[in-house]
Amino acid sequence: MIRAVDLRRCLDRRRALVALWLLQSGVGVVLALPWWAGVAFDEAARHPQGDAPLFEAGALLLWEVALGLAPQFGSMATGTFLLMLVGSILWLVPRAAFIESLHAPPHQPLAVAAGRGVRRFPAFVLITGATSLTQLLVLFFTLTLAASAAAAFVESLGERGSDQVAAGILLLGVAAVAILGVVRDLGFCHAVSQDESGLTSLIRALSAFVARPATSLLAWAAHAIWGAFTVLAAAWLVGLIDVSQPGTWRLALVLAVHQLALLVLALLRGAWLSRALSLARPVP
Amino acid sequence: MSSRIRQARSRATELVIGLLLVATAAWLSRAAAQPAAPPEPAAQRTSVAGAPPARIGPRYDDDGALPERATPVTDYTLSARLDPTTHEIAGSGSVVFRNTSAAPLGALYVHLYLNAFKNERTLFLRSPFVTARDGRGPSDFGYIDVRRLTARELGGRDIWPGSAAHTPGDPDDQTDIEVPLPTPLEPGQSLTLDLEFTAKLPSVVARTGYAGSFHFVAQWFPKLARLESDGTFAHFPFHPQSEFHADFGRYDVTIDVPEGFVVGATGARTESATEAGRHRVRHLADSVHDFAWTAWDRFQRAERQLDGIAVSVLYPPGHEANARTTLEVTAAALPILARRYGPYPYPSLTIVHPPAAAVDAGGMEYPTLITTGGPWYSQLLPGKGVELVTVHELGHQWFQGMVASNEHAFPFLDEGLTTHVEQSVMEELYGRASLGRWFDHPVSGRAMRRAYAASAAHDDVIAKPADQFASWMGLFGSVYSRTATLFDTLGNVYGKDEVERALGRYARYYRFAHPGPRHLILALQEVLGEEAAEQASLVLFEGGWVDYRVDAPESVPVREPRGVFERKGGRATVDRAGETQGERHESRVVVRRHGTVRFPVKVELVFADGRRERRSWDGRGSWTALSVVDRHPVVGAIVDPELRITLDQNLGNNATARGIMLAPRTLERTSYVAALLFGALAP
Repeated sequence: MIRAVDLRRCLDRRRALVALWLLQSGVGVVLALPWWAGVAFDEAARHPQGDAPLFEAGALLLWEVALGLAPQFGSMATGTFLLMLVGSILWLVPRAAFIESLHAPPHQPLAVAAGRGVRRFPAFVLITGATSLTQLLVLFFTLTLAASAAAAFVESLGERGSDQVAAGILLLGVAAVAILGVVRDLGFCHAVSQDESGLTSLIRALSAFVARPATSLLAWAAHAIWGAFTVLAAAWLVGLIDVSQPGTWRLALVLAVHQLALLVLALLRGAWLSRALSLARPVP
Repeated sequence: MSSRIRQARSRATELVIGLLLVATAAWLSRAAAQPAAPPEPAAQRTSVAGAPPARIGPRYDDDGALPERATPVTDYTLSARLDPTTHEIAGSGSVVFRNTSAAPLGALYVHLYLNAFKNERTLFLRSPFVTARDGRGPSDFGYIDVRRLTARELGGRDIWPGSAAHTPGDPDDQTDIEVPLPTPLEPGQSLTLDLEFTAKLPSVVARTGYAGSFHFVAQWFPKLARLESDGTFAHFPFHPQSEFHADFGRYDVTIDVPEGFVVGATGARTESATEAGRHRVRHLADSVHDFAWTAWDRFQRAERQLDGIAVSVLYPPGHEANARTTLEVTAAALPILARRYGPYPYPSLTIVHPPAAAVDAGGMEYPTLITTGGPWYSQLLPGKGVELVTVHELGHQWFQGMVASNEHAFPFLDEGLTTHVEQSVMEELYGRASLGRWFDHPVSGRAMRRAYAASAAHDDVIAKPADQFASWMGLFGSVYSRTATLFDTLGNVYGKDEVERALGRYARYYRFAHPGPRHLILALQEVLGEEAAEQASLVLFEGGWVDYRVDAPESVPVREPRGVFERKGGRATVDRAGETQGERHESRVVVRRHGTVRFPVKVELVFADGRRERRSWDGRGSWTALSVVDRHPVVGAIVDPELRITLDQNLGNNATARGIMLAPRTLERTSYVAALLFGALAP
């Protein structure tokens, strides 16, 4: 469950929350720009109804644009991935600043939090690097294991049975990746609250997780589940609004729904980090 | 995938362009050489490869004149014993062959299709670039050895030793074998051939072979090539891009497998017995031109009676949801197909869902037996893969099964028409989301087919043999997608019901017959008219294409004209800029048509006040200018606003508008998705 106290703590730092939301939306725009430009400068977008026909059911014109973009798809996807990678590293500064805000009393100036965020950058990089690398290794290992298991058990268990074994292994891998994510967040919180180095924070975060694994995981999972629900609900609502139909209000409404969803996701993330701050306290 | 298609298109264009004239000329000369023949009575219509009749007529718009069965040319009585360890089939039996042509026959042609997988020098396997749709060769080779072929009417003489050692003109291939007859077989005479053979299955490749204990047994017996009415045989080596062609007949096949194996086969089961550790089943199929079967010790079976047809689905354990869906979509599609193209005439239909290890056996058609495919969790996925493949293969029961065109010579007649059938039936069943919902966006099969069609070499000839396409993807783009898109366009322009009426007339008249492309054109001409048939012919035979585009609208305020005018009171000179006439504007929109094909189109003019006005253009000429005087200038124009001409090579240039279009919906959606992805990946 999500604790009210964590939500309140987050809402009390609404300037930091809004800043983080705006920043994430801005990053989204930057990442999307090459894709948008590919569509906006395509002939298909020079329609009297603008790009509304691209969203029509059946997707005739959407396929047309996709065909036009196909030759550049590989390079655009690579570019977006690299941008996302660099962005993820730089994102550690606002992330640290946000945790600083959560840790500090309300109404702390954003500039102060940002300054502290910059100071935490090396520790956050170390924590992120160590956990992300381990996550990649775990994913690679479980994918390999799952593929081998699927092949090994197909004779004895059949297709569904062997796939289920593989899915079980993958699920374990995903759980391990999630645990590492939780440890990473606990490490962030420890680095901020205890003002310690990245390595020490990582070790302390591991101890904190081991001390309360179920509490930590359940607290993270609650926020993750609500996050997934938010994304699905937004998709459902947007499907109802249907921007292929005339009316600028539809676009405005979809924009509002999507931005609200991003804001809710930022709030949920903030609430989890608030909880993580308390979980990351040193075990007596 | 799309970039691969574009590369394939470029390669196809480069490689095929030199063959186009030759292929077209060859086809035309062959067509011209055919004597005009009056329509044959339905009961004798076993071969109508010559010129089409003068008229089919509305008599074939319903089922009243349908022949009940095919006139048999080749009747097979075979026994097959499967050894699942060596993957060999010991075969024996007899074939009754009738010379239904007008000429004496000095030789027979026998297809030994399994020899395509004998080694890596065969026509099928020799090229690493020209491959079948799965793009892979077998890991274990296959072949067929004929041990005996004796002719009873020739005193039991074995005629196989005199047969050619290889495919004509290809010493490395043994899939197309000439068997000389010691004495000619006169028109009307029959020959009863007794044969013995051993077929070794390859690992699953090109819809035949084995995977573990799963066996899909297709093209497994020595198969007589189809006899044309002029006494020649429609014979050809097995090319990786090609399929098959044979005469109609009756198949009586006894299959012998180890006990515990479940068998599915062409035709209806008439006997079933198990003794001494072996399971024997006998299948009878009348008015069919092929016989395929499958055996696996793990098959599950789901059955349902659908309007007197015993439908069986054989599927791997765990695929229960797929089997249910397959039965449901079959129950929904069969009545539609029967209504459009005549009833399904056979008492049984077997649908085989191969296991994942034998995925290449999926998506294939044989008379009364089809194969589908997809993982066990297909029904959890957003797409409709199982439904689509099932409908497609069901469609083949008509366009290939009963309307048995030459799949090698004109693959568009079976694959192209069936893709149209698949697309239209899927749309009838599932609407605009006929392909499923991707990210909550309904995506239709016709949109996907159109995209593939637009990716294909648009000026390539569609009506040509399978081996004359540069690659399988080139064939797929032209034969499957471009043909289906042509029929989609014809339906949108001339009426969907009318197109189905034309196809229904064609399917009924040539039921249990072997029509060619011109027979299809005749049906289109009769129902849709000369103009439609002409456009279809251009696309199919001459690489016809079309791209409508619209130029940016031009508008000027309407002013008094300047200059020297002769008026009643004498000559008057107006030398200053004329006054505007109220607030009226003269606008002009130029619509262009590139390519060789034309269809009538609508053009929508968009005025500055948001009003819209539609004009018609018959599509003749390469351009037209639409002028309008109105209080408001024209600020945008759309040619073919309902996107009816899906054959249009570029739908993206069909509309234009003044001003800068910012694509705000795209920016909103892509930035939201990017922000979500970033939020999920960033720490």
